[in-house]
Amino acid sequence: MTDVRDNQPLTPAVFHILLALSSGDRHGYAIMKQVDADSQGRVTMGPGTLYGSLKRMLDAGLVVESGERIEPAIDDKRRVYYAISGAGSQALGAELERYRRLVELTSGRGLTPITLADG
Amino acid sequence: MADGDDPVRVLYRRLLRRYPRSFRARFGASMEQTFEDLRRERRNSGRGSFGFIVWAFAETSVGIVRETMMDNARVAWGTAVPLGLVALAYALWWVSDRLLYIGPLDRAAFGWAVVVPVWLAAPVAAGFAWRGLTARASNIAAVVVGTVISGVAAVLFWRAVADPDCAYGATRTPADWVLPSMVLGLMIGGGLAVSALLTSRFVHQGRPWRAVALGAGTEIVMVFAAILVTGMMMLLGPGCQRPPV
Repeated sequence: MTDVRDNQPLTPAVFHILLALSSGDRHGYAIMKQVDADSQGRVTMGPGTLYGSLKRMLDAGLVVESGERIEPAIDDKRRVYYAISGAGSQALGAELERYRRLVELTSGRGLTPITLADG
Repeated sequence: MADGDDPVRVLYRRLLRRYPRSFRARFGASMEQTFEDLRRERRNSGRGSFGFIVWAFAETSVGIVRETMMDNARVAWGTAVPLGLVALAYALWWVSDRLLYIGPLDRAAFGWAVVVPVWLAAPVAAGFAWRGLTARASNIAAVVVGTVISGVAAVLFWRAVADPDCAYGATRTPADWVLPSMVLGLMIGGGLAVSALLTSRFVHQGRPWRAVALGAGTEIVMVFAAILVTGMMMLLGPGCQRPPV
């Protein structure tokens, strides 16, 4: 599991879940749909991966259970909503900063997907 | 057919039962709901759901293996911490018992200054190591730790007293020492397990200093009780036959 205190890189599953929750509280199925949309179908998460990751993220304080019901009239009570925490926002911010620096570094060296594909 | 009787749903619910109890209690219902949402989405989009069901069952099974291994690793670690400290205390005592001085300390001072604190640290460290465990897992770890220490303490005591070096034979047979050894072992192992559980309860309540005081305090009481019982056994029990007149 990613240790937030050490500011270690996030695993792909943790990164995508935090990214999905950064735009609002969501339940498990909605997180999956958002991850699918954000990654343009490249990251597919099943219930085992999603809830295993959520457990570790809850334990690490990256996400919290949200008492809110977005649609209380139609929501099943088994749907638990999750929200990103302050530590989760920090971890996501640090990860995005890492990506930004990497893009800056590779751009400075003239490396782009097109130049690399051309060999 | 009622929604709850859907055979695929029933099978998936049965599969979820294979998760560790604490995980299932926390996420089981949500996982079942999410599985149903994904199935409904497949059905509504006109795509076949057979491939999805196979994939979801396989993916969930991998999750079960992963969570079970992590759960077992946590219990194993929670068991290894107190057992390691008790073994360390015993090793320090064993070494110091064969030397007159260890550094500036004679062996009695070394016992009180080093061996006893390490021993007292065992239940306290266990209580903190069990922080991430459920109450049931903590109880399992306590039973394992208590049983191992009870057994080892009983065997060590029995070996020390059952065969005294007597020229004309001992007053008691080795079999006479089995029950007292078991009682003493239970006092030592059970005392440590109870101290660790008490520490763990207060750690769970977010009161670490009270946990340390209570865990070490209970263990001190149990150690002195065990010393008292051992002393009484040594006074009343072992002895050698008088030479024939």
